[in-house]
Amino acid sequence: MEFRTDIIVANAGAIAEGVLITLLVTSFSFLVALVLGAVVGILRRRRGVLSRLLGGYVSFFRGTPLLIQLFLIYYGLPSIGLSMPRYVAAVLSLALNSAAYISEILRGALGAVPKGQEEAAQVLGLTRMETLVFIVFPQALRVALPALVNSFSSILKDSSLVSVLSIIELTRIGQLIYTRTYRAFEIYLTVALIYYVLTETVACFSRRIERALEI
Amino acid sequence: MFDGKGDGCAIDVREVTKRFGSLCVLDRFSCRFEKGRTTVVIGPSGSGKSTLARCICGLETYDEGSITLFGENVASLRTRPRAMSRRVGMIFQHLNLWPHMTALENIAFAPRRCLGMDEGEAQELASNLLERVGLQDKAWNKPTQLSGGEQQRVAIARALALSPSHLVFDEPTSALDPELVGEVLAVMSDLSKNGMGMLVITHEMQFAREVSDKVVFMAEGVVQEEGAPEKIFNAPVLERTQMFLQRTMRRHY
Ligand SMILES: Nc1ncnc2c1ncn2[C@@H]1O[C@H](COP(=O)(O)OP(=O)(O)O)[C@@H](O)[C@H]1O
Ligand SMILES: [Mg+2]
Repeated sequence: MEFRTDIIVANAGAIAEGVLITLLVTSFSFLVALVLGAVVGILRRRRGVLSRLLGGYVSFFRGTPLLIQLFLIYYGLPSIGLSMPRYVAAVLSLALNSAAYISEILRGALGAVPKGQEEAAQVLGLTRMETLVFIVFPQALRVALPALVNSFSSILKDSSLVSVLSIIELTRIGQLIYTRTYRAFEIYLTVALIYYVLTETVACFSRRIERALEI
Repeated sequence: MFDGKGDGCAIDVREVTKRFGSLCVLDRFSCRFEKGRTTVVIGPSGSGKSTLARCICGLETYDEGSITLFGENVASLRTRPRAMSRRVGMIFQHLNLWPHMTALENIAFAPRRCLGMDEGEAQELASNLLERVGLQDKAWNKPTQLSGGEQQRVAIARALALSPSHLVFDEPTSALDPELVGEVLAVMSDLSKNGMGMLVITHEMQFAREVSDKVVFMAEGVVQEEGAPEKIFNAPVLERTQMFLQRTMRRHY
C-alpha cells in the first residue's frame, strides 16, 4: 500500500483552518476554566454549605464522561429553556469539565503555601485580598504550573470530542476528508501527529517557564 | 532614634484567657510591656509564649480579657485598623520571607501597599534598612540565596519598614544553626540600644541578661515571676524559676 501524501497536501488549507478552530476552542475553554477553577478552588478552602455545593459540582464533572456532559449541555439544557449556539456549548462543556480539575489543582497548591507566609503579610497590615493576590497566589501558581499546563493539553485533546456537535475543528476536518477519500491511515495519522506536536510544544514552553521561574 | 524611652505602656495584656478546646493556654494572663524597653519572656516549651505573641499581634483571638496597644483596645487583626497593626511588628521563629521576592522587595512591599509610598521611595527605604542590618550587598538575593541568619535579619528589616513602635520576636534564633545566632542577636541588641521597644521570647539567656530591661518567666499560661534581669538570674524568688534557669543554662552552654 502506498502512502498518499498528496491527499494531505491537497487538503492542507482545510487542515490549517481546523487547527485554528481547535486552538481557539481550546484557548477560550482554558481561560474560562482557569477563572472558574480559581474561584471554585478559593471558595472551597473554607468549610460551609457553598463549599459542599461546589464539591458536588467538582465530583459530578470529574465522575461523568465529557461526551455525556457535552450532550447534556447542548441537547439537554434546551428542555429547561437554556439553549445556546454550538460553539458556546462546546466551550462551556470543556470549561466546566476542566475547571473541576483545575479547582482541585489550585486548592492543593494554595494549601501547599505555608501558613507563615500569610501570617507574615497579615502582621504587616496587608488585607486578606492583598495577601491572597500578591503573596499566596504567585507561590501557588508556581507549584500548580505543571499541572495547569497538563490541563491545557487535556482540553486540547478533549476538544476532539466537540466534533460531534459539527464544529469544524481538526478532528471534524479529518473526518470530512476521510468521507471524500477513504484514506483513513494517512488522514488520522496526520491529525494525530498535529495534536502531538501541539501538546509537545505546550509542554516544552511550560518547561521553559518553569526554569525561568525557579526560585 | 525610635519612639524613645518614654513613660507608659506599649502593650498592656490584662487577664487574657485563651483556650484551644479544653486546653487553657493563657490563664488570666496579665503583663505590661513598656514603651522603648526590651522585655524578654522565658518559659518552658508549651507554656503559651507563642500564643501570647500571636494574641498581641492579632493572629489569634482570645476568649477573655483585653489587650491594649498604645492605649487603644484591639481585638483580632480583622477588626484592627491598618494603622494599628503597623505599630507592632512581629518576627517569627520560622523563616517566612516571601520566596518569590528579593530581599529588597520583601522589605519594600508593605510600605508601598500600606503607606502608599511610590516605588523609588520604598526602595530607598528598603536599601537603608538593609544597610542597618548589614546586608546592603544582598538586596537582589532571593531568600533561598540567603543563610538563615541573613533571612532573619531581612525579616527584621521588613518589620522595621513600617516604622513600628514595638517589635515582638517569637524565638527568632531557634530555627538557626548555632553559628548564625550571634549575627541576629547583634542586630536586636543594636535596636534595643537605640530605643526600640521589644518583646523577645527566647532561650538565649546571655542576651536576656545583657540586653533586656525586664525578664518575665511564664509557665502554665501565667506569669510566675518577673523583674530586672539581675534579680531573675541572680536571685529568683521561686524555686521553679531557679530550676528552669538551671535546666536551660545546662542545655545551652
Ligand atoms: N492552633 C492550636 N490549636 C491547638 N492547640 C494549640 C494551638 N496552638 C498552640 N496550641 C497548644 O497550646 C499550648 C501552648 O503553645 P505555645 O503558645 O506554642 O507554647 P510555647 O510557645 O510556649 O512553646 C501547647 O500545648 C500547644 O500544643
Ligand atoms: Mg513557641
